Amino acid sequence: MKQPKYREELQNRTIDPSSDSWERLSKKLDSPKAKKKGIKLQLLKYAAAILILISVGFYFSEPKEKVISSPLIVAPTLKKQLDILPEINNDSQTEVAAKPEIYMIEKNSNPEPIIPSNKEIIHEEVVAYAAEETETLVIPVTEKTVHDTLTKTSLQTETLLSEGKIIDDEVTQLLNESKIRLLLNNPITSKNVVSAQALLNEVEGDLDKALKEKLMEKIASILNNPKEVVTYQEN
Amino acid sequence: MSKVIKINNDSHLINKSLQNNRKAQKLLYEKYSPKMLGLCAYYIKDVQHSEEVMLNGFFKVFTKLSQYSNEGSFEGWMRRIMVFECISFLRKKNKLIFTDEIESFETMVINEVELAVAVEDLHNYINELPEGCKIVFNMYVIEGYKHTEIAKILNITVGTTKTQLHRARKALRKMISINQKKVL
Repeated sequence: MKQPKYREELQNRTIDPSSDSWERLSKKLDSPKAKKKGIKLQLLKYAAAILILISVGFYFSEPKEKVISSPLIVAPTLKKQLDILPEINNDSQTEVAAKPEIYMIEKNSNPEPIIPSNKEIIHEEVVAYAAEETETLVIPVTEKTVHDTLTKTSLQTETLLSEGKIIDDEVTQLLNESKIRLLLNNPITSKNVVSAQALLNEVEGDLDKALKEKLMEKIASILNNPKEVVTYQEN
Repeated sequence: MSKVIKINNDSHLINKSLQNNRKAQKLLYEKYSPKMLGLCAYYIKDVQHSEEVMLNGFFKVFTKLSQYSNEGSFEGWMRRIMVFECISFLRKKNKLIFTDEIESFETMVINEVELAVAVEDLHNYINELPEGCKIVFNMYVIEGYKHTEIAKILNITVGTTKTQLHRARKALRKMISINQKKVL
């Protein structure tokens, strides 16, 4: 588009600036303010580039799928429980005795069932578990006394059951009480102790013997039958 | 001969100026400063002030030279910077005052100002115009801005720019007629 003539003439108006005008401008351009602006801009550019690189790096380095393992629910344990658990000692001469907590039940036992608090329930369970364990590993009573007590108790329960005065829960309670009474009435002696380790060794020995016999039989059968060829194919 | 052309070439000087070459910057300054001061003088009456504004404008030209996209003319880009610099100066001095006039634009004849007078005289008449209408007149008549652009730059309505222009034309006509009568 062609400019009007008057506009061109008005735009071409010239006024000569003062002689020192360039010096002033040059000083201004050399001033640290002007330089700082340039430096700041450059620094900002570099900072932005670094930030972008870092963010991109983080984005790609992050694992795409996060496997969240299901939370491990651990049952509450008491320090006491660990103390009560029976110890399996390698020493064959070690005497295994029930812990004093077992006697506490005997002392505090009432004919009526006690409803304990939460803590007590846990404690009772632990005690019961400990009692079971001691029964399996340690037999601190003679056969005769056990037999007598059991027959006595069974007679009592049978009569009570026949009369309809007792229920199943009460029977189990009575049985438990009788077991505890047996333990209390018969002090533990070293003669009655059975070593758990000895038992285990015996069982392992039996197992080894059976395995050895089986192996020998197999080897003998292979040797007796020379036509059979055992080959192994990798694929 | 070819060397001289190369030295005076705008794009070459711009490239050198971008590398902070002071000589190239000086050459550009010497080439354009008289015109730019003439432009600033349209907006700011006081020559000292207009020179100060022009120097600020050149400072911006050299520090923001990388923003020049080579699309339009370099002179046009510089003129734009100078106009903005003048307006910001007037704003700071609280000299940007526009008085709205309720006037029918239908009767207005937006014709070009008849140049029946010498250009030098016209410069003087323009300088005598009130600040508000002088800026609008300069932007519209000399720089070729549209009313919408002027309104946007000066943060006023299009109606106000038109009114200011009308006032400027009226005042100029009056000044010219008085002077012609004097001559006669």
